Amino acid sequence: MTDDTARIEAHTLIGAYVLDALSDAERRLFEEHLAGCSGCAQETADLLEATALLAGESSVEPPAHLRDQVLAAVAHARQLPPRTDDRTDQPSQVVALHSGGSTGRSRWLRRTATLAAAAGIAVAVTLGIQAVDTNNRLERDLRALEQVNTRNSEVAELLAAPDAKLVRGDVAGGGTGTVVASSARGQVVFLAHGLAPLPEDRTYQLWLIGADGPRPAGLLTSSDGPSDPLLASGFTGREAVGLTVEPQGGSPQPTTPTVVVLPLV
Amino acid sequence: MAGRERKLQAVSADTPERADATAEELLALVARGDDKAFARLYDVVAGRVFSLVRRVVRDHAQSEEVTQEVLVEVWRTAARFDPGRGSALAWVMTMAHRRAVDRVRSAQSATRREDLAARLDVETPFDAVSEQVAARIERRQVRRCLSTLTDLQRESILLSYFRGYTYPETASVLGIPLGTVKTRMRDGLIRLRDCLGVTR
Repeated sequence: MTDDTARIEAHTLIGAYVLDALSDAERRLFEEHLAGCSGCAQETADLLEATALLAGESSVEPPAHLRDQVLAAVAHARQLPPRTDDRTDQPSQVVALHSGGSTGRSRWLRRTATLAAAAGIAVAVTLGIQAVDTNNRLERDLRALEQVNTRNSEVAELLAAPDAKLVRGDVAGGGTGTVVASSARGQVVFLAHGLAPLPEDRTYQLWLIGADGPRPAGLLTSSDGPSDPLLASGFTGREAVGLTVEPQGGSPQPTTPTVVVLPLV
Repeated sequence: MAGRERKLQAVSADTPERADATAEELLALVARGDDKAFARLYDVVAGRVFSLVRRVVRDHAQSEEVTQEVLVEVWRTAARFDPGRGSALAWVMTMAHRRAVDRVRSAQSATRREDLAARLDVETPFDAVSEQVAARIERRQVRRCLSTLTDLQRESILLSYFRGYTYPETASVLGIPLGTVKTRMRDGLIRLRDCLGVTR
């Protein structure tokens, strides 16, 4: 499948996006797509205009006391300054972090480091989530998730979970890892792309890393090209997802440093 | 209706007293902290916001809360409205819909599937719902344009927009594949856009 085809597939989500019919995770993915797609912003804006007309005129009068409440509330509400830096206006910021900005990022790094330390494993790598070339990766992720959507209803339900979170990171040695997690469903799904090939007797192993240590969460099936999505359960919303290289067949505990840690807290 | 003026208006400081100031003009004043302009903007958009939120959220008390959140958000973020990207009305209504949907989903997240199943059991037959919603859309032009969509396009759009259904839920209600519902939503909105003459 060419990149163009992938782009078109990603783009079919535009209707569901405009109607707010995507899960949070898919919404973030689509906003990433928007950020790197010239022409998409215009099309999205036009469809939002049409949708706003769909909402129609007012058919129910708001109660009179609401006006007083709102006017009283704004008297105490600080107004946000306009955005002056173009980059902060990119929807992809939404993807990057839940808190956004550099403060959010460092807090997030600290949290992950603490978590990994608590788990007794070394964080070998950078947690470089927001890479410059996110768009191509996004297209691949979206394509892979779309394919999964159609053939695996469990993964599809996870993706559509209202509390689904999406985090992506660079893997040491090459490639990216993407995880979508829902604590309501107690599940995570992990997707990898472009991981470094391993010797015959080695495999990539996924871990759910909580305060009481890492727990095995499955083995990746292939290391070149997109891996099959790996679904793991037992996620409570307080774990990070990590990946290590282990002997074929996996290990009960990590024996090497993680090649990526994706914090979900 | 001033709020529906889509063309970018020249926004200048000497327009506020005009009775027919557009929503864009009012918003520009609100961005400078003008609370009188905000009160006027409230009168222009609050009815539409409340009506949309009511349709999605249903519960009256919660609809009031969400409406208040949306309007306070309009006040707080007025300086971030970019008239080059669309009309003030679309900006406000997009915010309203997002908040309404968020409210419905967070309320449902715990027992989402059970809840959905239960609702589906007692649900009015779908055609009737579609009719009701369409009937409540006052604007003749919108109604006419909706009637140019295929049944699936119209049903997909109305179910997700007015019920806050995700596209997988919409697909499940309509009994069609996920891929189909996505393309129906997109194609239906494009047709609606063309019919309504929304182009810039």
